[in-house]
Formats: sequence, C-alpha cells, structure tokens
Amino acid sequence: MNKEVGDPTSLGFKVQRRKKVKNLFLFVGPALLINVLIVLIPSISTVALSFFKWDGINPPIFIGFQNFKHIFLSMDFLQALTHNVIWTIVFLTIPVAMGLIGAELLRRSKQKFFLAFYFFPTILPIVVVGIIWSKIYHPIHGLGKYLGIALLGNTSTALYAIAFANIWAWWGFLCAVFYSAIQGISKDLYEAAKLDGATKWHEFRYITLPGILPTIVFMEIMTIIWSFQVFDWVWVTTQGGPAGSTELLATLMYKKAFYSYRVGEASAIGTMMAVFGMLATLIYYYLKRKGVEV
Amino acid sequence: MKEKVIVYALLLIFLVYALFPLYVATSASLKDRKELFLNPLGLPSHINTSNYVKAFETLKKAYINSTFLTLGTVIGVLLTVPPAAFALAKMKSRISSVLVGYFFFCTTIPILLSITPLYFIFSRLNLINSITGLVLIYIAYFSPFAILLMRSYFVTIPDELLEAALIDGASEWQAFWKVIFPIARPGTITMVVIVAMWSWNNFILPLTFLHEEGKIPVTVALAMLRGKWSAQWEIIMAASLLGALPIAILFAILHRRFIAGLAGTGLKG
Repeated sequence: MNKEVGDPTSLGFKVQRRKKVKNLFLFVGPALLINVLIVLIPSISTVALSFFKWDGINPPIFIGFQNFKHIFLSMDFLQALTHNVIWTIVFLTIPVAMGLIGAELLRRSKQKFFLAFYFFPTILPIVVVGIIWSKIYHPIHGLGKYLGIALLGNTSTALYAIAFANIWAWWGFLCAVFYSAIQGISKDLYEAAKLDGATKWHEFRYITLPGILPTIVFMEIMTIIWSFQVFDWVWVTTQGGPAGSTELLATLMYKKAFYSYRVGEASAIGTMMAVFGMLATLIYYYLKRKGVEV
Repeated sequence: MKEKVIVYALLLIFLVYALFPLYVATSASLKDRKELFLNPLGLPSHINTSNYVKAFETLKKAYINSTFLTLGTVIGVLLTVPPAAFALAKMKSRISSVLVGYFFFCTTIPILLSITPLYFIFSRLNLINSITGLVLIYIAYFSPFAILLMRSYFVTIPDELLEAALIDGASEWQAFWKVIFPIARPGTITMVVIVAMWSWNNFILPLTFLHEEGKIPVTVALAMLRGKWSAQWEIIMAASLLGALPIAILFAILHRRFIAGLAGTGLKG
C-alpha cells in the first residue's frame, strides 16, 4: 500500500489503486489472455459437455448425468480407472524410495556428479524413451529373446512393463528434488549427530527424512495428480492393448473423443480425471491446515 | 571405509541403470539387420553409420517443423512470461495473489481436460495443421509453470532497483525491460531451456492438432516410424536417438539450469 495516500477511502487512493490494477493487467494481460482462451475456456467447456450427448457434428443434446452414469457402469472405464489406481500406487512408492536412496547416497558421498546422469533420462522425449523400451522388451530384438516372454504383449505384464520404463525416466527427477531439499537442511545437524555417535541410518531416519518431509508429501500429492494424466507412455508402447490391459483414463478418453466421436462420454472421463487431481490437491491443503508440517 | 565402498557401489549401480537403455539403443543403431537379429543386446562388431543416414533422411522435414515449433514457442514465452512473472512478484495485491493461485492450479489440470473443445474451436478457425496455431497452444500450456518459475527469480530482486529506475523518469514498463529483465537473465535462460525442451518433446498436442505429413514434428514422426518400418529396429533406434539429440545437447551444456529449474524446490506451495 502507498503510505503517502493514507486514508483508504480518499479519492487519491482509489486512483492509485486503479492505476495499480491497470498496470498489473498491462504486464500479466497477454499471458493471461492466451491462457484463458486456450486452457480455461476449453476446460470449462469439457465439464459442460460432460452433461451433453454430442458426436462433434450435430447440435449437443442435454442429458444430465447420463454420461457419468454410463461410464461408471461400463467395464472399459472401470478397468482403466483400476489401471490408473495401480499406476498411482506404483509411483507413490517405488520411484520415491529410489529417489530418497539416491539423494541420501549423493549427500553422503558428496559426488554431485552422478546427479546429472540420473536426471538425464527425465528430460528425454517420452516418445523416444517409450520406443527404446519397446525395443528392450522386444521378444526377438530385446530381452524378451532371453526371458522367453513378450512383456508388452502379455496382458498380465504389459502395464507393469510400461510403468517400469516410466520409472526409469522418472526417479532421477525425484532424486534431484530430494537432493535439492536436503541442501536446505543445516549441516550442523549432521555434525552434531556424528558427535553423538549416530549411525548413518540414524542420520537418514532422524535428520534427512524429517528435514525433507514437506517436499516428500508435496511430491506424493503431485504424483497422484500426474498419475491420472499419463497418456504418452501407453500411446507409444501399446496404445492400450493387449486386450485393454494397459488402457488408462487418458487413452480411453482420447479414443472416445477422436475415434468414436463420443464427445460427451469422453468429456465425462476428462472431468473425472480432473476431479481426482483436485481431490489430491484438497488432501494437500487439508494436511497443511491440520498443521502437519508440509 | 567399508561403508564408503557400499555407497559408491550403489551409486554406480544407479549409474549403470540410468545408462543401460541408452547403451541398448546406441548399440542397436550401429548394427545391421542381421547382426541385430543374432546379437540384439551386445556390442556392435563394427561401427556402421548407414542407419543414421537413412533415419536422418526420413526425419529431415520433421526436424525443421520441430525447430519452428520450438523457436516460435520460445519467442512467444519470452515476450509474455517475464512481464507477467515480474508483475506477480512485485505488484502485490489481492488480484496478483489470486492469479498466482490460478497459474499454480493450471499446472495441475490435465491437458486432456481442454483438448476436445479446443480441437473443435481450432478446426472452426482453420487452425488445424497450422504450426502457428500449435505454437499458441504451447505458449498457453507452458506459460503457467514458466511464470511461476520466473516469479521465484524476480522475488529475489530488491525493490530498490526498480525504485531507482522509476525515479529516473522511466515508466514501469520501460523500467522492467531495461533494468529488471537483464538482471533476471539466469532465470530467463532456465525458463527458456525448459520451455524449449517441452516444445520439442510434446507428443499429444501435435498428435491432435497436426495431421498433414509435411507438418508433423519429430515426436509424432517417430511414433509413426514404427508402423512404417515395422521390424527395422536398427533404423528406428537411430531415428529415436536423433530425435532426442537436440535436447541431449542442450542438457549437456545447461544441465545445472535444467535441474535447478525443474527440481529446485522454489515452486513448492
């Protein structure tokens, strides 16, 4: 607030305020406008379209909650939802544990040099990494030849095989996030612990872990949000097959919208994906308010 | 001592794990068909670069398209993101904090939530198969994160600098571009490399908005290669590595900025 103006009801204050808002929009305006037109309005439209029956050509027909009722009673949606839940559980645990171990090892060895290599797979195009792992799993041209199994062609292994590939291109990111959070912990704590004769495990358990707990919780919440949005990985490796065993909400929605022209149903799936993400955000703010140190 | 050995052994295991798929791809890309079939995972017996020549021939047009997409997006965010980030860092008001919350919210909502209506809007406007149209979409999707990232740099710049520039009679707009923006160069570079990486790597957006074969970028072209050269993995591997090469080079030069920008905890909360 501007001190010279003083009385907030005075005319000068209002002019000042209006000028401030005008200035703010001069700076933010272009970015905000593009974002509202391309992200916000279409997103709201999708939520609206989820209450309509629409093939993308003829005028949409309002049908209330029919699309939601329909998808929750259909096997393909429930199957995809199950896959997303499995995916979320896998990513909440394995890569987070790997990232924590990696970060703690980097802290102990002080060899930051490794971090760039661990991080490198996370910045590669998912298409490229997906194709490389398809080759690795290939029954003739890859590991499959020696294992005697087509990991991506088998309904019981395909989803986990894709998740395993995704972990390769993901854990290094978590490792870097945790390592960067560890840098914020006071070195004195580790020194003091050493003097008290703490073991390396105690250092990790009682200094590192509580020190970066807020970051871990934040990344877990983001993991839930991101896990419901996975698309590229499945699209480039299996396109949802074999027999729907790798279908996720995102791929199912994409097929419904652009291949079967069931825009209403697709929109209902998209809306549900956003709802799951928002639930995760709500959990985060709930934890924060409860005073859990996150 | 023993502990140290274990720590380094584990670090090395992680390193091998991180490099193994890249080794598989590289070694396959250097083999000919017969050798790849007989020895899919071992080292190539001799260096054979003909796969790269073939792969590059096929990807040439897509390379150019990806370059235009990336450059266009980078120019777009350079014009729109820094002033927005600055305003949200320094012109504090109720509205600016609502906008910060809005942009954070944008980074969490799925692209798929907006893609269908956007497709129908863009086809009405004849912007399907338009690289410029896709550049606009990229700017819209990537700028919320870019704004929050640059904002965290602007927050650290002292107010006195801006005040000094304003006393010299410059408008806030001029003061920003002439004084503040140059100081924020490290933040700008970080933001630009991340946006460039996302523009080069994105798949679902060009898959949806570019259909003409002459318009598609590298990522979509690569996904189509598997249909085209169904079993010619040596060429597919060479093409995949070529597709990732520009990003890999960028990372080799600026890996600190990538890591700081993407994994720094500045955006938390």
